[in-house]
Amino acid sequence: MDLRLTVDLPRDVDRVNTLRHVLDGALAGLGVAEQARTDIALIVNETWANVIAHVRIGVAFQVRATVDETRCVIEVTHPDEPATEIGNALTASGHSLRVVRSLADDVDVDSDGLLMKVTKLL
Amino acid sequence: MTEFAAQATPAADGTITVTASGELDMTTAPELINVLRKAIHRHGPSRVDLDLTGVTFMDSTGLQVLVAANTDVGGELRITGTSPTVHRLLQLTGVLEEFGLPSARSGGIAT
Repeated sequence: MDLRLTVDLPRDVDRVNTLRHVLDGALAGLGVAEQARTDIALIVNETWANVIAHVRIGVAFQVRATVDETRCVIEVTHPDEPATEIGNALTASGHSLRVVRSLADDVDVDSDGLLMKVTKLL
Repeated sequence: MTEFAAQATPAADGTITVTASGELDMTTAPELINVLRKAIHRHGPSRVDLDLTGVTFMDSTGLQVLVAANTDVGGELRITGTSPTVHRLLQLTGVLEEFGLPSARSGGIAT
């Protein structure tokens, strides 16, 4: 199984709960334990909140969640602008990023054209 | 999806009990802000007891609401019940004691 969900910000700013629910349903279907699903729901939300906190008018982001049998990967991409400036903003201190770092198995920032890549092993 | 709801009930001893249920995230946090602010403004309570047992999801946006409300009532906001999900976020962020809950041994992350 390989599930990929993509949402665009700021257009889909109120869709974070939809992303969270669809992802949780997929993870439940895969038999992922409730604790891991809870952690992933928080990771998705806090990653999203971190993007929202730094989003600027006219700047578009994508948040993409990919699930397979071994891992759930949340990626934040920015199709139009050089990654460095935005990436620096996203790594600024904040509650959201600290929560993500404490729950995820890996948090990678500003590499391979991605602004953030958060991995949670299942 | 679970709708968010919050209700404030004043008690004879000058405290207020606020009971919340549903999912508390950036889209529903304004509702809790409204309920808490109205109740605090109207009743000037000596303490706010907040029951989050029915809150099935909470993110840091919800946490910010609780921190702000706690400031509004001079640090007298007490969380009287939590779901496992809410408890985990409070534990991760190291604010259990701030809201009158027993601290976990593992502690929280630096704030």
